[in-house]
Amino acid sequence: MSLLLQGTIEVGDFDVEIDLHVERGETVALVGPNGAGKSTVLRTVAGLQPISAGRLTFDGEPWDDPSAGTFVTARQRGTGSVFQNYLLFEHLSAVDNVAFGLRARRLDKHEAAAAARVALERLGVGDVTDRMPAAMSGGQAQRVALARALVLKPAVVLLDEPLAALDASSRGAVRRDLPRWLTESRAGDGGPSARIVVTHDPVDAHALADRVVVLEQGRVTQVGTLGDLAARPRSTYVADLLGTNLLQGSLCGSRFDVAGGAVLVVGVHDAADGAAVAAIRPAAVSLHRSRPEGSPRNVWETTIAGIDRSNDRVRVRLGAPIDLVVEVTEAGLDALAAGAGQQIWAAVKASEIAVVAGG
Amino acid sequence: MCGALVFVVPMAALVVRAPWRSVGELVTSGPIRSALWLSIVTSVVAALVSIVFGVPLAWVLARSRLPGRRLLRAICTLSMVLPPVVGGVALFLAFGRRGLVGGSLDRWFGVTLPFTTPAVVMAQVFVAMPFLVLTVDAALEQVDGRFEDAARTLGGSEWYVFRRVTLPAIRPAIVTGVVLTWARALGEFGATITFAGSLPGVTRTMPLETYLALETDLDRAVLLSLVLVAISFAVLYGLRGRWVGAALSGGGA
Repeated sequence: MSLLLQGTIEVGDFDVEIDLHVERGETVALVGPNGAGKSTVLRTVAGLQPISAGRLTFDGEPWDDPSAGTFVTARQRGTGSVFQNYLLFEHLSAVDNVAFGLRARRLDKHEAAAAARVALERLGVGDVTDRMPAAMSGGQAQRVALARALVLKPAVVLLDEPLAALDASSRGAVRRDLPRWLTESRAGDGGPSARIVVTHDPVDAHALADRVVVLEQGRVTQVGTLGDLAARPRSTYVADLLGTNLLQGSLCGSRFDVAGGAVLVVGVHDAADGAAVAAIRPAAVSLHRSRPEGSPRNVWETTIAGIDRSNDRVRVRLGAPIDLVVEVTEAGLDALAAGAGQQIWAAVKASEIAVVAGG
Repeated sequence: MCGALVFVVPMAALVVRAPWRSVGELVTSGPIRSALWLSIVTSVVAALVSIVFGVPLAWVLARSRLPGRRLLRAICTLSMVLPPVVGGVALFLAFGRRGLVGGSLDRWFGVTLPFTTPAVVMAQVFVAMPFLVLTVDAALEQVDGRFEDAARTLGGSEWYVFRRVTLPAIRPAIVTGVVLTWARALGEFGATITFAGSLPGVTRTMPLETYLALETDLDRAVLLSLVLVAISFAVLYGLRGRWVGAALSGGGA
């Protein structure tokens, strides 16, 4: 019971080789730099872009199989898509946008409007039913777009950068609520949906997805959990972006209590107090043989849990009190003369720690 | 500024020379009333016919992958730049009693088109429909296809998507195109007189009546011209508002 996509997608002179597998009930994040082909993959699953070779099946039913001449149209697939920038119909009110797909399925006008209102209510935007898209905030438009997709009870849900266009305040709220909306959503057959989220933000991937598929220049470069990727990045992109340390904890002003007991001082941010996630780039942490002098606000002593080498980078894993991955150069490691199990001092500037609400 | 005189002087001459004292009696005279009525009916019918045939044609030109699409577009808009008299001759050769198609129409159905009111409409459609086709074609090219894709994933059939997403997006262009088409049809002269002749009450529209009046009764000719000027001015004025409206509601779906 799952979505399987294996094959080649050609768009002009650009091609994407993809091998993707999403179970129903699971959310997979598709991450990668701009132009990697992430949106192309979503369009392919939605039925807006055919594959040139390979096979796309859902629950065993072929959706696109060029060798057999099979192609199920976007209309018949009925995937629930939330597009980048939402693409709400500008000339229709919120309730008419959400009722659009129901009306396309020849549902009676009043029944469709009633179902649309329920869907909007469920996503917390029952108060904007008669509002036009131009008069909605980003957060409202996002929820209306999600309601428009979920009201059709899709078995496959596709989200393209669902949080990118939101301002910081609504971002936190949506990041907190979206996983619940997705897991609670039911397909027409009553089962859970298979979900793909395109994002370039590791924090979003962490909040939304069970697994991560990394796509770079049209090729899958790595698949795994965020933890796997952070510990063993197989490309510079993954190391730089997804290898970011994400720490769960609670925020109170500039004080961040890491789950497990440690305390960090964080820089300027606009997240609300409460549950939060702190992101620290591996290269932002410095290691020292003895307690460092100078300005860093966060200094602690720890032990080296392990050292990984890949792609001429060295990643040092730190143990308690804060599990962190630190990136150093080979020369830097030599200077430390450090090995696994050894005591070491770690330091990170408050301004190098980004915090976002939710988690 | 000198350029403006090219337009201002003739218009001023019309207004100055107008027989203002006898306006009432001239306007209510039989020939002018029947010509005005004929012009309004035929031009409105021509505009409606242009919508029915022009919008689908524009869709084919903008969206289909038909081979020879560019050539087709050139042929369909040729009459915009063609001397209308040539259009009239072409229509006559096609739909005249001995014409390419007209011969069969006459023989099989007993239908003769030249010198009838439908011929007036045909001449107007031939000359004016390209205004609608080109305007709608350009608008269709500019519609953001992502909205139509979104509608398809929501389960819309191609017709449903066109009706509920594409059509609202190109509505301002259709209105503009129809008004331009209608105005062009109203002023049609060359193709009409060639293909439909000048039968009073049947094919003698306002521009034809004006031209004929010039030879017998200058006052009437001036007055007829002024009526056409007034209509054209009203169209331009109305369109100006439409363009502002289109800019405001434009973009998006």
